Amino acid sequence: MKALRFALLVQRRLSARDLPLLVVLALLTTLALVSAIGAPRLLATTLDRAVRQAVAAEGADGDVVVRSQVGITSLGTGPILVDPSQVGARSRALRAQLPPAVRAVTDPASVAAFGPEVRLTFADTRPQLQNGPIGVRVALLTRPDAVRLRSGALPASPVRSGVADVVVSQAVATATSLRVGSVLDVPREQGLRRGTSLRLRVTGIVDRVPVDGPSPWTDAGPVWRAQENRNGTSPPLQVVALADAAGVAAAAEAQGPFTAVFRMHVAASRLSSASAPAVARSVSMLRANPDPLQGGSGDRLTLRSELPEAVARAERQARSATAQFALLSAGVLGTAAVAIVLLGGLIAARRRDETLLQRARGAAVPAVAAPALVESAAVVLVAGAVAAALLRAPVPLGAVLIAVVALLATPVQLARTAVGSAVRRAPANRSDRLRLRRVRTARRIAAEAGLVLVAVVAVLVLGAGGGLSGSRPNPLLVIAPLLLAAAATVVVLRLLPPVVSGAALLLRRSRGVAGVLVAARARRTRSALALLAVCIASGLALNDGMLVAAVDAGQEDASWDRVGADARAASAVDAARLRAAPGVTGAASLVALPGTSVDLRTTSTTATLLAVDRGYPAVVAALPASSPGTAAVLRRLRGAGPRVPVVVDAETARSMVGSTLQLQLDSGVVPARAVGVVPDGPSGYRQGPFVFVDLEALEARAPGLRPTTALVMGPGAGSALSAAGVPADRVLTRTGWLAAQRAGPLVVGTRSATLLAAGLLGLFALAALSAGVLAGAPDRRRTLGLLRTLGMRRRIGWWLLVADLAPLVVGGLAGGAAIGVVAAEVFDPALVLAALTGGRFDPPVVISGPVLGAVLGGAVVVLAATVAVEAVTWRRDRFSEVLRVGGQG
Amino acid sequence: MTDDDYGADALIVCDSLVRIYQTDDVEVQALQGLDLLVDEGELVAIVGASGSGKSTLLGVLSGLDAPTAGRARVAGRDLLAMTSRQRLRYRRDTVGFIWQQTARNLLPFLSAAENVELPMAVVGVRRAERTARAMELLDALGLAEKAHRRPAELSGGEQQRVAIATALGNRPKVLFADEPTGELDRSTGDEVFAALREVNTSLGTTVVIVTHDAEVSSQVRRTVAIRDGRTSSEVLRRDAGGPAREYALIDRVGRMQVPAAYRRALGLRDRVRLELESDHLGVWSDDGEDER
Repeated sequence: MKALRFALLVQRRLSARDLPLLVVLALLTTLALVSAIGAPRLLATTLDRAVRQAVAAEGADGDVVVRSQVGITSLGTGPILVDPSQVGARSRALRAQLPPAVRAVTDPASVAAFGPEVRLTFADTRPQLQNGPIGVRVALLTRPDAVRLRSGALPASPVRSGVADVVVSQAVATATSLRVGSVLDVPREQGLRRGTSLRLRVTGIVDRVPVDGPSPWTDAGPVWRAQENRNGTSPPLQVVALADAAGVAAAAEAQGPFTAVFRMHVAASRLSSASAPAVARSVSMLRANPDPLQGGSGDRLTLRSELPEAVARAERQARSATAQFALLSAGVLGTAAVAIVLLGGLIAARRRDETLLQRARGAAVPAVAAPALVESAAVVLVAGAVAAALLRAPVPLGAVLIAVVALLATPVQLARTAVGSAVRRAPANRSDRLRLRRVRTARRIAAEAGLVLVAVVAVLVLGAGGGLSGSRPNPLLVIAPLLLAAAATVVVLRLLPPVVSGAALLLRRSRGVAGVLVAARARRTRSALALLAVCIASGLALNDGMLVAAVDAGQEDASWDRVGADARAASAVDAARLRAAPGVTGAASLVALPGTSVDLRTTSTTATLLAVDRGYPAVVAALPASSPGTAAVLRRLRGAGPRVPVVVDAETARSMVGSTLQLQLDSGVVPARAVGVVPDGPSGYRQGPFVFVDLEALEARAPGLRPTTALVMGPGAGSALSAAGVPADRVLTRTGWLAAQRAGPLVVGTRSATLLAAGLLGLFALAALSAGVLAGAPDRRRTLGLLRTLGMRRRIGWWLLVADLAPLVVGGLAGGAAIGVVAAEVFDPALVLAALTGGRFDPPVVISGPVLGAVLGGAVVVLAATVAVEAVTWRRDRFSEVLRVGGQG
Repeated sequence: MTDDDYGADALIVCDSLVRIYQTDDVEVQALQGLDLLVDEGELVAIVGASGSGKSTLLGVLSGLDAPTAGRARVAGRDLLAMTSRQRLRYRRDTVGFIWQQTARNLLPFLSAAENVELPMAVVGVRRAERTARAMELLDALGLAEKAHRRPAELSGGEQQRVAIATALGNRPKVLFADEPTGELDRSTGDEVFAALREVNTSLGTTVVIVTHDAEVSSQVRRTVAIRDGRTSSEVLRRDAGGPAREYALIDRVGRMQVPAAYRRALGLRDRVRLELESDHLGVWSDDGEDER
């Protein structure tokens, strides 16, 4: 205790002396902790947004919809029905029975209860209908406060009388000629039960008023506007009349049970990537078995929701982003850890003399390391507090590891210095000393070979498809890049000496002393940690750049694939007029007949028949990713003959024996002859396999075909379609698709993280390189001082710095390039980049000139900043002082 | 005399001491079978040219280095058989050490008194006790008034005297000093030597000083010269500063180094003729008389 107190006094003075370095260490640790805590948070935010977008895109299909039956439960064996007067209570009971996770993300239910539609004609109504027969559906007025009486009175149906008082909206009244006092007698043949009758009395005309809570009209049908119907099988006008509970009871008694729909809207904003899977699981289970919602009521329930499918899709896409984040985090935190260790080493090196003196005075290793541990703990606490204040988020494992590294970096290296000063007896015999050296060398080689082997195995495992096998990325995806970087560092360290020796031979031949000096210094032993930092940072920065470029290029390719042209309209447009429009380089019309049966003589298949006009080959030829020769093959469709010329895709061609086939159309069988094969059709936006036919030729044999799609190429494609009168919601432009894809939460989040990671990698690499450079600065100063006493100029110092830095930076960049290439080949396929590009296939990840240039530019900036750090230290130097005290300033 | 009997009463015993350094593929034999005996309470200077092995010897004896072979014992402790823990203990309570560089002996951010307290704090001496001891030592070395100054505020001589006080903190049996006056001018060096003599006489601490300065023999009673990793000669004075008498040393196997000046004067080279008389040994140059 007494010794500890004094040791802490010594430590306090040491800390005061090294305060600038400790501040830098604290800043570096803070930045690393912020990165470690911030990355999972950014990922969680990205995934949250992605799952919310996926659920929101599902729209009403994502809602949790429970159906039951409403009516008066008859005595005996009939089904248990919800009493019309209890529908609201049943809604609340249902919600109360929902699993908490589902209840938390859903709004209170909107309720609708409606009966079967009945067809009423002139004869069934008094006064008679003016606008033809109507289809009327009686629905429960679940919330009287949601309507305002325009005329008449609200329903007040007499109990058990076969009469239901109803109200209708003004729009319905106008469309159907119903008015207050109209009486509608439902004919018996409209499905009324034996011995019952049903009369609807219009007692009022209502308007809707906004209400709090969910809208009661979502599932009620055409309450506020008569629905026009042209299919001929249903009445031309369909309307809904609202009745009170007694009226619904009377109607249900005559018509049979009403359908009750309890719709609970899923509030996407309340979902998170963490909670969504549990919610989806609960909904899936209820969908399979809704009994838990019964709550003793006994009514028969069904549940429908597309939420589980939407969440599953979002989860699949999220895996790519998660894997990319894992890879980025590993690189950033690995570089940060190395930088922190190097900085800790710098502090330990500054304290070397004091450590050795204390050891000589009898201080034990713990007595040297423990106070430094207290100091490091203070630094980590400060850094942790700042990081926690900046990001109020849970502490992930990465942050804990960074904190541990920061805590131990200086004390462990001080302890190493202290242990290194411990005396060890060398064997007296030369043979024993030689044996000892051989054993040490063998151990080192074995350790290095083992490291390289482990890295190779990790790479092979990932290469064999172990990257995204589960729902979470394989942890190997995080560890493998660091192992690879460590292995690359070892290899570079072993390759550097012969390379540097070769360069040194050349330099020695140069005139002047600089060549000799640079050669001599460049052959000295390198800092493995600084090299490791440069390797990791440059390798992963290169890979980051390649990923960003690959995703960008993949999105561009996918946009052509998904849209099929610069713009696509789901509408019939005059292609000739489009082609004449300014800014249009090509246009085509086509008819898509999916599910067309194709008789291939020996077998038959179902294909999408694409009847294309003569402009189509030109549009295909203009597509960047079009296979060579495809357009030429499609031009063969113009041929004549008894059989219609068709072009088939490779998949159809594989099933064909000869060249003749028959197309089974609604209008009849069309004999055809295959005149060519293309690798694929427009699979980006239509389901294959594909058979192409000339539109004019097909129209001649199957009249009445109407183009369904228009494809337009050129910068003015969108404007041309707009000018042609195509509604905007039926046009998909490639730029619009691309913008929407690039605005997706996963894409935006991953891109932001990648750019952030590149910046952090540069920053941490700068810190690591600077720490490595500063560690060698005393020796450089001493050499520089000596050289200056010999009459050399100060600028010779730059050559010394170049000699020290060049092998480190060049070797690090070489190792980094190797890491980048291996990562592109092995790690990146595991990232399933198609989830970010929106394409059908993962884009290739290749080194491109701009990416390489950006990484080299970054390396130059880091190098310049490192040199600037050294230059700042020179400004304080007086070389006579340096020579006197040994350059330890 | 058996090996165990050699130097049985001496405080420091070096018997055929060997220290080999190894750097990459190069081996350097710094001590090549050195013999040395130092009795308790002696003030001994070890002189030798640069590279003769004197600093290596001091490193070994002070527990900062380990010998490769031979025998080394200080205050009854066998330096070859020591574990790391024992060596640490040995450095704490048996020996004190002063380096040549004044800046290397003291922690620059501690005051003189705190520096003196450092070794005592390492072994857990109570604060009051170590403060009193530090002041006592600084007072004895004439630095009581500057006890609270930091090393940078002291002259080189004062720093070395603080270093002496620091080395004496735990009452070591031997004080080793490696070129303690190497960075000092003559008069300041004399002050430091005076302080070391004072420590030797008043505290009874054995002092071993290593220096390349042959003139230092005038400051001490016994000067041992080292050449090529072996002790070669000794100069003894009845009193420090008094008349000197030079002795050659005969090692355990009977080897003796004849001073170069003697060899030159008598033309002794290659082979000499020995004649054993009743009270002395005669050495003659080999003038070929027998062949003639």
